[in-house]
Amino acid sequence: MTRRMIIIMLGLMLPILASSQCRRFTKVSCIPALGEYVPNENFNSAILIPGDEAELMMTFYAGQDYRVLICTEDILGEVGFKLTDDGGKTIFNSENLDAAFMDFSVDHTQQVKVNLTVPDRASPNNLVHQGCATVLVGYKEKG
Amino acid sequence: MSYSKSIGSRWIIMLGVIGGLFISSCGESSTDDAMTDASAISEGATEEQVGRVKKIFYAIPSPVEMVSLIQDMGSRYDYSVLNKVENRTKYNTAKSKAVNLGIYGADLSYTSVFNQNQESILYMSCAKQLADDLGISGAFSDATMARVEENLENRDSLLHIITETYYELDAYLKENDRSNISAQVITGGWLEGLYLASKMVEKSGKGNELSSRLIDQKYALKDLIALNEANNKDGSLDDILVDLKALESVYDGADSDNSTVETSVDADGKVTLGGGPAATMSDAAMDELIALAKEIRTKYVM
Repeated sequence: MTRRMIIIMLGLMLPILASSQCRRFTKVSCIPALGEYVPNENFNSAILIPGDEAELMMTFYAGQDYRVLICTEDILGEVGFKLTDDGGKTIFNSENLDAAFMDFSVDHTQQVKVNLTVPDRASPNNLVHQGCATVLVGYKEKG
Repeated sequence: MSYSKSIGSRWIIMLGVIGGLFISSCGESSTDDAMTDASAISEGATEEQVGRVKKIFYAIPSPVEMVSLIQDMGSRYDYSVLNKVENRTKYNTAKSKAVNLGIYGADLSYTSVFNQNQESILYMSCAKQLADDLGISGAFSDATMARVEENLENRDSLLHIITETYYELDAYLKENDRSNISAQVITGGWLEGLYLASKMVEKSGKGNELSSRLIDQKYALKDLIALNEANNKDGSLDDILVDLKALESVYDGADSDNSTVETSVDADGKVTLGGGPAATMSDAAMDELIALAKEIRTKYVM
């Protein structure tokens, strides 16, 4: 009985542990990559598995310079991402980028959607590998 | 020692190790120590155990962006428009503390952008006390407060520290299943940014970049409503949603075209997003928006 309770407790704690690790991963491995861009104050991070999708909705202001950074743990593989406008038109696609971030300036205020897709892959032992994925948005202070 | 006791001891040690990991995750110092490896926590799940739900985030522009524009527009610093620091003791409910944590955060951004060091310390202290009251003091640690004091003369560093502090706060709330509190803090920050901008438009007049930015808030408001709806499982955000939807109804009067976004790349490789919908608003609707922003903000700070 006691052992069962302990197992239940561990089961309840593991998601919290996973989430905490995601926060540390983001702070240590992702935020520094924003460089001179000031990070947005929203924490947009989740534990994903192969085949998962995530999306972020965000408004980008006219006259500002931005960096959108996709930061994922290696275990997730090559996570694809793209930016689309409000009407679904693709603005950027990771297939055409060399880096995991996009720098751009904005002429008119835009509402943009960032889509992430974790590649699906078969697991021989039926275990699922999960990892942290973070979308960071930073803007550049005008000098 | 009997076998059963030995097994029991192992479980206790294991629990202790995991408990230690959990506790250290809430602290400040452990977060900088090393890279983490989420694969270490991933091996136990099978495909049958993991549900597939598309994760949707709603990112709301930082109040710092709004107050930076206020300064860029040549507006003069006006301490009287900020939420009074002595109001802090009036906030007795979790909701009023959370919303005003966001409001004080925007005010802190405002004082910092305008290099008002003493006021920045005051507003940082207000924010810290509300965070303490809410049991989320980790982001406002002694180390963070010391960094603020050390960087008071360095505006850019100070803004980085403030945004990182609120980022940490948001991360802590979300990872501890308190996303409804997170939504309240974010909403407070956005409402204060809207209010500060509307006060400046009142002074500077309509038809400038700042009033355009005020109109542009209709897009962020759409995401903010979605964020609150997504985190309103217990109905704790009902009141906020009523206020946000009242603002939305005013914004519904703003005209917007449906042109698509066009990207261009200049000779230096700089990418620009052009085109896209351009929103406009009549003077009467703008007046209505300014009045409503003030009314809602006043309700929350009092």
